[in-house]
Amino acid sequence: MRPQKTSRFGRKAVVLGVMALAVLVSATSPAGPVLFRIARADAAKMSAESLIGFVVIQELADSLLAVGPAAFPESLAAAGIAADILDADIRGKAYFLVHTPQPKDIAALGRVGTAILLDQRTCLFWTDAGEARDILMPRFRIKRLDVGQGISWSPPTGGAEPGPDAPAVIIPDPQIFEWVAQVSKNRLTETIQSLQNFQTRYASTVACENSGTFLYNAFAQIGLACEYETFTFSGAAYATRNIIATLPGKSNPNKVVIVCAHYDSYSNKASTLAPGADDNASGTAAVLEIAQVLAAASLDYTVKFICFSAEEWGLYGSRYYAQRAKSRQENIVGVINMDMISYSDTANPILEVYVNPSSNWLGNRYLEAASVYAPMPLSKILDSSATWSDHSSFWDQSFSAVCGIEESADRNPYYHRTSDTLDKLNMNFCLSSTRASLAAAADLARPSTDRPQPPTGLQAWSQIVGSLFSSVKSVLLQWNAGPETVAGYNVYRSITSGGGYEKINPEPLRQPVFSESMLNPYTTYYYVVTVVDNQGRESEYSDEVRDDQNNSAFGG
Amino acid sequence: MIRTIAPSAAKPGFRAAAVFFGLFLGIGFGMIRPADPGDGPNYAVAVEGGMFRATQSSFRMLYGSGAPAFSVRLEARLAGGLWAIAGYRLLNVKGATAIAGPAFDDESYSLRFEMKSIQAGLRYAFAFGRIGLFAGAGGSANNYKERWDDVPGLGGSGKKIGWYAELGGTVAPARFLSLFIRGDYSSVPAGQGSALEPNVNLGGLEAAAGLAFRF
Repeated sequence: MRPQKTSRFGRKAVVLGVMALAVLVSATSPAGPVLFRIARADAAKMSAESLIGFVVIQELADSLLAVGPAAFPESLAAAGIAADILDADIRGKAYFLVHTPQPKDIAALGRVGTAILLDQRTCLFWTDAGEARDILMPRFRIKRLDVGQGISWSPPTGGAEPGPDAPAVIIPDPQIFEWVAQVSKNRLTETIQSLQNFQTRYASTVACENSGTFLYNAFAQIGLACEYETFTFSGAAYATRNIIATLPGKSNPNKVVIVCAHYDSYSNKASTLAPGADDNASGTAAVLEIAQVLAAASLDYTVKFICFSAEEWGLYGSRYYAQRAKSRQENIVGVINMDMISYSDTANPILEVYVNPSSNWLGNRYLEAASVYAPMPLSKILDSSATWSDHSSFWDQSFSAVCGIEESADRNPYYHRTSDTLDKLNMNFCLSSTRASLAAAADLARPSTDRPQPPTGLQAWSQIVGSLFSSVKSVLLQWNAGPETVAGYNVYRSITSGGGYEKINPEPLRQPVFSESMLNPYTTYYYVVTVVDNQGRESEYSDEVRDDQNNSAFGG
Repeated sequence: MIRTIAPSAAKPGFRAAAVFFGLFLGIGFGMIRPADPGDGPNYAVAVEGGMFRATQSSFRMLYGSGAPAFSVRLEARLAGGLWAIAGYRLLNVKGATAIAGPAFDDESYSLRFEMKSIQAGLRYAFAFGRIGLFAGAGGSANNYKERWDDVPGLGGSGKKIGWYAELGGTVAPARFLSLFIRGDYSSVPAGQGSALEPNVNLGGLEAAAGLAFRF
């Protein structure tokens, strides 16, 4: 059959029809997901049903950034929750948080992309260029937001803040004092110099990968098991590696303490010269030094020493690790991140320790361990908007993490410049900061060498003594005596079973017996005891007893 | 960690009782009619000492079975054998704490208890020559305080209203003097107590003897 010939007019009509259809389809296609902000106080009021379709991508001090269907903000408004729409269609865009220490920064950002100030020091930024690092001025610290996966967030429950199941009070451990004393300023200096010698460690460069190999070899030389964790970023345009060294825990290896820093660097000539001595060869040297000192240590928990890459591009390396750690349910007790710990423009430099609310306990523990083992000026800062370093990636996955950083981080005149070199650093400050972090890490991972066994056979009796109008409870505890090496015992009490214990004896007890009176007769108390050996090391808690657990022995 | 019953402010009921007591005395004395020469004295002032046995076993366990009590009374004849009585009573006793339930130790603390009462009531007396019998009842306003000697802050205090009923007998060796014995039962609900005694009543039985000066 002969094919029918289409006239010229007919072809034109078909083309026009197809164009009209395309316009119609695009006009009626559903709007893309929106990026919006709600106050944290409002988020806490949201019901479980209202959270469906709601993906939190960032938690800030006062607000949450979230993505959801286009109609989501309206449905929130109907529920009385104000949602501030930041971008009406997120499709095909890459969003960054930019740390903006100065008001003029907003104007600078606005010249190269879209910038919205979220709080005093945090700006939301996006552009069509893809990677913010390609177009932003060097002075900015940035974080890439993951609009696809979101972060691990749930409405606050108001519960007690979590913490490791360690004794609440730090009992000085002679071993940790020894380790702190072993931290070497010379080695720290040598490592910073070695990293600086790579000229640049800008992720995406060969030199950066070479510096990663250097770190891998350094960990291996110490005797630790090492691995590369390779990942890509910038739309798989670049590949780079996190360096992970592991010191396995002795008694509880499933629990992990992470000591980390990013080893990549940045400057205004990043491709060729970014010495990054302070940012962040200093933190990387501290990680390596702590690994060196603890390599032969016997600790209860596993310690991972991690040097992250591509932090300067937007925390890519730590995000990759933290997301995978979350998915494989890694039991991370706490993360100690160090980022710029050696520059000081004052005589008495302060190390700032940044925490978010769920990491507050870790910050307290860090400060307490440092005050016991390596005293130095420290300042804890609670700020969920501190999103500018690798600890933020762990916060996003609900892990506890702290970041140690020099107080003058915003004032370092060499920040992200080719002049950020070793000669500008205060190595005594670097030494102190490293010692404080080592103390905190060792305390968290808990030295297990010759730790005494907890007491056994704990028994408790209680009685109530009263008059007509008052009564008090008295409690008697007894347990089996420990070996001769026992220097004493500590008694801990709680009003809830299973935790929340507080030490109640000011000095270790000589005998395995304890009594106390004047307690509330209407409250049930729970007790555990520990052994302290003649080296000052404290055991784990004994089994718990209720105050009247053994009253049946005398007919109660 | 110590539960203490805080001293309570004067309750409205207690203040009302004090007012009632004042009115009672005033009205009582106001109602006194001129005495007939043959009726005998119209007023009396009595002092007495006695032993108090608390109704609640917890009180007896803490302070013993008998506690000394002292009273002073004013008596005024209203009409015939009907007398108005107003008195002040002091109960003061030492004791020791007790253990409620199982015990692992003989832990004990010294206690001190004091109760000051103002009583007001009516009494009807029958006379058979020098010998008489009487029965009466009334209310009491009580101010009590319990203290742990060695533990400041423990114990309790308060002001509570109660009542009493009495029986007694008199013998009058002279026109201006009579000796008497009496027994009374009292109730002073003091409310919530301790783990040892959840609901306290400070009343009990009292046996007393005294003498009255009549005029």
